[in-house]
Amino acid sequence: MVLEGVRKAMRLGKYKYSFIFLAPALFFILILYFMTIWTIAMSFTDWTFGSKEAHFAGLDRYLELSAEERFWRNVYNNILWLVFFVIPSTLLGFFLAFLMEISAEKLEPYLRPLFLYPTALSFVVTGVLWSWIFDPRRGVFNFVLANYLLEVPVLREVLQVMGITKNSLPLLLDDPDRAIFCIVMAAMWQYTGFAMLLFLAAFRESLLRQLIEAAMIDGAGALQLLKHIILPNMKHAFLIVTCLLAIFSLKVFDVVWVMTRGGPGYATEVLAVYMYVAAFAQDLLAKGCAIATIIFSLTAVIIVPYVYYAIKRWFGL
Amino acid sequence: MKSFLIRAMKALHEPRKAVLKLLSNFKVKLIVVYLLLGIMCFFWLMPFYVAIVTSLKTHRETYTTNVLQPPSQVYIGAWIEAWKRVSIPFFNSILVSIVSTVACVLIGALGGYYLARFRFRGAEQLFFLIAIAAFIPYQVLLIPMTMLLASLGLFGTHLGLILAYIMLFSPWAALISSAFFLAIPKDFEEAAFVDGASPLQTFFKVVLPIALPGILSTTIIIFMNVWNEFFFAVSLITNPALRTIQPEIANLRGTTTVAWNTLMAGSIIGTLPPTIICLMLGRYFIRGLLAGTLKG
Repeated sequence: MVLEGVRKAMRLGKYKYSFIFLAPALFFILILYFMTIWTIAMSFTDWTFGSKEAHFAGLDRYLELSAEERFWRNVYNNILWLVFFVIPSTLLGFFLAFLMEISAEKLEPYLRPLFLYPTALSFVVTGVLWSWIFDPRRGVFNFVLANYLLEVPVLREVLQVMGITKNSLPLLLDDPDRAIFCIVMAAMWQYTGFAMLLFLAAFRESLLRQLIEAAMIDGAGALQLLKHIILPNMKHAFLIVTCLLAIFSLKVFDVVWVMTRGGPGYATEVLAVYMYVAAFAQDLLAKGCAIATIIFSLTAVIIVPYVYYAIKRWFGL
Repeated sequence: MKSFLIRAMKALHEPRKAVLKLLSNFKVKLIVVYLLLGIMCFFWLMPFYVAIVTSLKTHRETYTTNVLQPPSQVYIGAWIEAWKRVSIPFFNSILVSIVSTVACVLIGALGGYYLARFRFRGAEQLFFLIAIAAFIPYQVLLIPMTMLLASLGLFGTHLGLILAYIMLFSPWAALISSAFFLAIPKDFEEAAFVDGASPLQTFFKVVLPIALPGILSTTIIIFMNVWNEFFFAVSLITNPALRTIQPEIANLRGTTTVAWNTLMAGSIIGTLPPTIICLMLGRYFIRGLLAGTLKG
C-alpha cells in the first residue's frame, strides 16, 4: 500500500504537465461553448444580415416567433417526430433484436449488417432513395400500389374504402397532412438498425443471460420471458435508445431538407429547417439565433440528464 | 473496473448458444419468427434494390417500365452522367474528410487518453462538459461558426470547413477514444514510466500501439460523420467547384432536370467510402457506434 502511494505521488509529479494532452481538445470545446452563449445572446437583438450593428431588443424575436403560425407548425411537426419516429423505431429495434436473438445463430452475421448498413449512410442519400420510393407521380410506392396491391381482389375493396383507387393514388410527399410520415419512415429505415444494435448489446449482458436461462429451466414461455425477465432488465437500453432518438428528432434537418425542403408550403417543416431558412435565405440572423436557442433548450432538457446518467454508468466515474 | 461498454462489445462477439438451445423448443413459433424477419429484410433491402435497378435504366425506362424489374438492357449512361457531376465533389469530400479525421483523431486521442488515465479534482465535471459539448445541436453553432470563419477569411474554403469539422468532432473523438483507453491495462505505462520515458513518448510508443483497434474505431466513426455531414457543408461552402459530396447530391435532387436514374447512380457513388469501410472493417464500425452512443 505504501509503495502504491509512493508510485502515485511520483506519477503525479511526472505527469504534472501532461495537461497539455487535453489542451487542444479543450480549446475547441471552449470555443463551442462560447459560440453557444454568443448565439443565445444574439437572439435578444435585432441583428439582420444587412444591419451594421445589433441592438438589444429584449424578447422581441421570441414574441415575433410565438405570433407566427409557421413557428407553431414547426413545433407541432417536431412533436410528431418525437411521437411517430422515436417510439416506433425503439419498439421496432427491440423487436428486431429479440427476433434475431431467438432465431438461428447462423443467420445473425447476415442480418446484423443488413439492418445496420443504413446507419452508415448519410441522411442525404437516405432522403434521395426514399424520395424516389415516395415520389407521387412515378414513384415505387404508388407503382406497387397500382400494379400489384390494387390487383388483389380483397385488398382492392379495403383500399377503396380508404379512398385509394387507380385513379386516386395517395399524394405521398405532396400531401400536406401525410408527407411528414413519409419522411419519418425514411428516417426509421436508417435508424432502426442502430436501435437494434444497442438492444442486441443489452441482450448479451451476462446477468440477463443467467436470468433468462434460469427462467427457461423453470419452463417459461417466450412471451412470459419477455414480460417478466427481458423488459424489466432492459430499462437502461430503452432509456439510451429513446434519449438518443429524441435528441436526433429535435434537431433533424438533412432528411427533411432533401425530401421536401419543408414543403408543401411549410407542412413538413421542422424547427431546424426554419432556422436555416431564417438565417440564410431571409437574412434574419437574430431570428435564426432565437430558433437555434429554442432547439438548444429543448435538446438540453434531454441531453443534460442523459449525459449525466450515461457517464456515471458507462465510465463508472 | 470494466465498464458496461467494454462488456457489451465483448459480448457481441460471443456465441449465444445457451438461449438458442433452450428456445429451439418452440419449433412452431420459430416459423413465425423467420416470417417476420423475412418481411423486415424485404423492406430493408428494397430501397437498395430499387436504387441499383433504377440507376441501370435509361431515363425513358425509369417511368415506362416496371420499376421493380431489372432493365431489359443494362444502360450505364446514368452512371457516366452522375460521375461527371459528382466526381469533383467526391474528391473534395475525400480531401476534407481525411484531413479533418486525422486532425480530430490526433487531438481527440490525446485528450481522451488524458481523460481516461488521470484522475484529478474536477475530472468528472470536465468529462461532463466535454460530453455536453459533443451533443450541442449544430443549429446553435452555425451562425457563430460562419462569423468566425468569415473573420478569419476562411469562409467558403476547404480549410474553413475542415476547421469547423475539427471543432465539431474533436470532443467526440476524445469521448470515444477515452472509452477504449479505459479498457487498456495500466501495467505497460507503469513499466515505461519506470524506464524513464516521458508522457508523450509513453503515449506514442506504448499506449497507441496497444490502443490501435480502438483508435481505428474512433477514426472510422469520425470519418463517416464528416463524410455524411450536410448542414455545415451546405452552409459554409458556396462555390460550386469546392462543394463536397452531400450538398452536391442534395443539389441534384433539387434540380428538376436531373433524372432519377442519374440521381440513384450519384447517391450510390456518394455511399462508396462508407460502404467499403463497412465491408472491410464492419466490426470496428460497430464498436465505434457503441462507444459513440454517448453522443447522438
